[in-house]
Amino acid sequence: MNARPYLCLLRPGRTLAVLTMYGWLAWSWLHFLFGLPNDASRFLAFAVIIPAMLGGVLIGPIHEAMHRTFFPLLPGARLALRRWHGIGLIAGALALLALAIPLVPEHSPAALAGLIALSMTLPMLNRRRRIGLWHSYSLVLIAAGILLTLAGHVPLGQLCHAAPWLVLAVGLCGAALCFRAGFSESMVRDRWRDSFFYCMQSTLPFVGSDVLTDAQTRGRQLAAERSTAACRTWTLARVGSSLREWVRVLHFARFGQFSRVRTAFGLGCAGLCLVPIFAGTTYLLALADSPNDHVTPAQFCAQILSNATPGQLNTPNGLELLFVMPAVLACMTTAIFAQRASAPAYTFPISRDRLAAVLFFETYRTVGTLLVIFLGGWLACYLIAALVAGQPFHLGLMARATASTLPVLPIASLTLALFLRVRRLLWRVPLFVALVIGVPILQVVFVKTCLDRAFTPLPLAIYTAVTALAVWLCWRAFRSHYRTCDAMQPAINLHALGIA
Amino acid sequence: MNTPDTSTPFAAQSLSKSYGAHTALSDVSLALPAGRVIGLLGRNGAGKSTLLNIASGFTLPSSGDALTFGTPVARLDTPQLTRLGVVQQEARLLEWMTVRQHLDFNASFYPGWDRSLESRLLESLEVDPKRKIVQLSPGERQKVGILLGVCHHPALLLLDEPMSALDPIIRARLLDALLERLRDDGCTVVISSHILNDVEKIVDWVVALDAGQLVENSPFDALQESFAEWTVTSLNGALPARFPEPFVLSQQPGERLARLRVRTSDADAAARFAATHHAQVQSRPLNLDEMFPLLTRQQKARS
Amino acid sequence: MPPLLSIDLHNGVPAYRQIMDQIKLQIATGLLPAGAELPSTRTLSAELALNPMTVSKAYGLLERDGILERRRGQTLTVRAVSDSEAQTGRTEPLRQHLAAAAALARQLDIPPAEALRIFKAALHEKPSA
Repeated sequence: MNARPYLCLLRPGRTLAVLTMYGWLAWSWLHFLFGLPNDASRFLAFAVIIPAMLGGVLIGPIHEAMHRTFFPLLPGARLALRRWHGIGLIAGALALLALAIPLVPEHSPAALAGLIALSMTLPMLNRRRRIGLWHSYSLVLIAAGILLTLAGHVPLGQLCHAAPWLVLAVGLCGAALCFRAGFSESMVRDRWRDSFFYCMQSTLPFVGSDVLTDAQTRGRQLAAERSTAACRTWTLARVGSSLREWVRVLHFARFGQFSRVRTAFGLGCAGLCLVPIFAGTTYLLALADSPNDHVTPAQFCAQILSNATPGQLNTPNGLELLFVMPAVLACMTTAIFAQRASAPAYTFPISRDRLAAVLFFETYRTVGTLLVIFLGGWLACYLIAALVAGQPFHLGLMARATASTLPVLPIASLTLALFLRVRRLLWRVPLFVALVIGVPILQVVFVKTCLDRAFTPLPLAIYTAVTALAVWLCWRAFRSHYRTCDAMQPAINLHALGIA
Repeated sequence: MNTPDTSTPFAAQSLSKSYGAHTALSDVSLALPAGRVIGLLGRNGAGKSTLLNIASGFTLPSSGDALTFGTPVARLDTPQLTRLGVVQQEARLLEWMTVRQHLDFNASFYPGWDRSLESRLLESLEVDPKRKIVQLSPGERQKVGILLGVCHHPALLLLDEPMSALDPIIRARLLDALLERLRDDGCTVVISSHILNDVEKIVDWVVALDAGQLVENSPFDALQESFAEWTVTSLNGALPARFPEPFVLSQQPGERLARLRVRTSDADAAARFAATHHAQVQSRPLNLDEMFPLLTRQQKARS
Repeated sequence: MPPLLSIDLHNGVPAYRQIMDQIKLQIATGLLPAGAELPSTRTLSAELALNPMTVSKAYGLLERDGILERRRGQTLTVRAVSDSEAQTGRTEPLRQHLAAAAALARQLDIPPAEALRIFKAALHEKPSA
């Protein structure tokens, strides 16, 4: 195997694009969000986080090939790709080192090299196993990264100053071990059992690409195959022509394979998980902001509760993030899944207009459910905080949280409307970028200015008008899309539902 | 024609494979003859794909031995893989690549990749090399799978349902391409297909599986010569309602005229049968479509 | 001149047998005279779209039975036969067809004398213009 097929597999252009995007994101989060001083954020970015990202995007295409069924038949593929990945790693490491030495002058090149080497090879151990929708190893790495950012960078920096050659030695040994383990026969053989993995280069530009649509179809198929016997039974003997019945049909077609109890349980758990995430993040942010002040849990919870009370936002820098998150998450999710929402998953024997109506209501039903769960998580968080702080809990505490979720509805509606109208890929990418940048800004502006006045008459009136307009635009977009689209996928077996 | 490969391309000894509670193959022992076109027949779920997956090293046996080119399938490496070509039923390829890119990628691993054969097959199978694999229909993906498995002149070619999604014109061209490979390389071809009409045109050896067990492993000529349909006309009186001879596999009884499907390699069987039953026997050979249900029924009769 | 063979792969008769029978028939009818060269296995299998093994089996059996012989190394040619052998070669196909006709006559309960009369009439029949 020579350089050309390897470069074809790697797609250097896309690799660079992914790396630039995530590299910049990492650095800006470190600096702006977590409020790290400039030198610390540069150190972490160039010595740990960006190398890990580079290692991840270099091994991603190779893993993708290994997860396909044609791979075991290629003679000598494992060793050939190992050789080329080694070359890629060395080239990348040298490039990063050349970048890091001038940008991080406080640390010796030896220590930087050791850290870069180890960080680049860690992603090779990722078996791409999933828990539900998440890749477990990626979560581990991200968690480690966050811990490092919030607490670990100080001792790490000190170690690099004290014993740079030790860091180099350990880094290189660790890198060699990871490299060997990453291409071991058992690890490679383990991969070709699961052919459902797509690397980031393949799913660029993340919205509306061919591969993404194919992946979603396959994912749906796999989910249906994996679903166990605990499915719901369809109870309607005959589906008439009312809209309500058809919304039930679609909801059943999409979620019928999941048992109600399990789903409720799962969603409840997800909602409850919000609590530790909120608490943990705010605690660590507080710690990062003022490491010398010792804050007791009671005091901290009192701080959280005071943050919930209308008034000045006087707490640590990143706490606003918590209020900004809902809209951002909603927007990103709708943007990415607009593709899935727009191509009807199943073919029903109903008119296109009716199909549009059914899908419209079903989408809002889903959005509403998620909002309720989100607010439930907030509620649980405040209840626990009130308990720990010893303060009485009253519903007024939920005012700010609820207000912060208000923009979700108009923003999600507009996002969906835009993505349904904009069909061409060339326009979708800048739209996606604009939304990713614009929505957080919008939400931050909202939080800083209107958060406490959200429930007074005039803002409520404006909000209602804007939301009504957004929802109406969304409805128009749905209708015009389904009147003209032709991406129909094979019909589900309606007999199985007891219909027809 | 090149000398066909003389070492056994694939051999199995008491091979069994189970997926949890489901047994896909049970106690299969066979040695495929070299240089032949072997038709792997069986009903859905009989274990054909499992056998081919084991032969290509994709799946490992639960018990027993499986040897491809004399090497245990768990240890297949470069020397064996360069001589092995596999066309899978539902291959997963790198979707983002164009056909051209995927061919170049796979070609870089095989020293014997034949570019001229590749371009001739691209033309005859009508594949557009510039299209992305994700945009191809299932039939076109099957064609790409065939290209990836054939162009490096393998000594053993395993084809799992290679023609199910192809239109009749392309199927004919594929068969021509396979025959050309046979003439030029003398390779061993194992083809598992339900389109018996096409299979019949090229196979000269038949391996049949039924519910995971081996029920047939013989030359196709021998099968054609042993299966027959007898039209039995009574010369005096009525015919018996049921003929007890063991070689009678199925019967359509009648008073004066009966149709039997038999399997016997005894040349005088018809004459003796006619004498025993005071009847006249006319024999007609069966084609593969007609033989197929009788092949699998025999297992039930034996057990 | 290459032999004109037409092989039906779907009638259940082994392809090698069909090749053998048709070559024998062509020799008997004089289409393939003694000494005529037959195409190589590869050429014939390519022309008829058959498995080369099938053709080589047919050739091998014809050679074993003394109908074909190998001259000048690789080429197969029709062996010159004595008159009595040629006679048998010609009457054998007719005998097989008549055996089937006789069976049919018995099925239809036609007495042998009547059957012979029909056959004689057919022999004297001229094809219509």
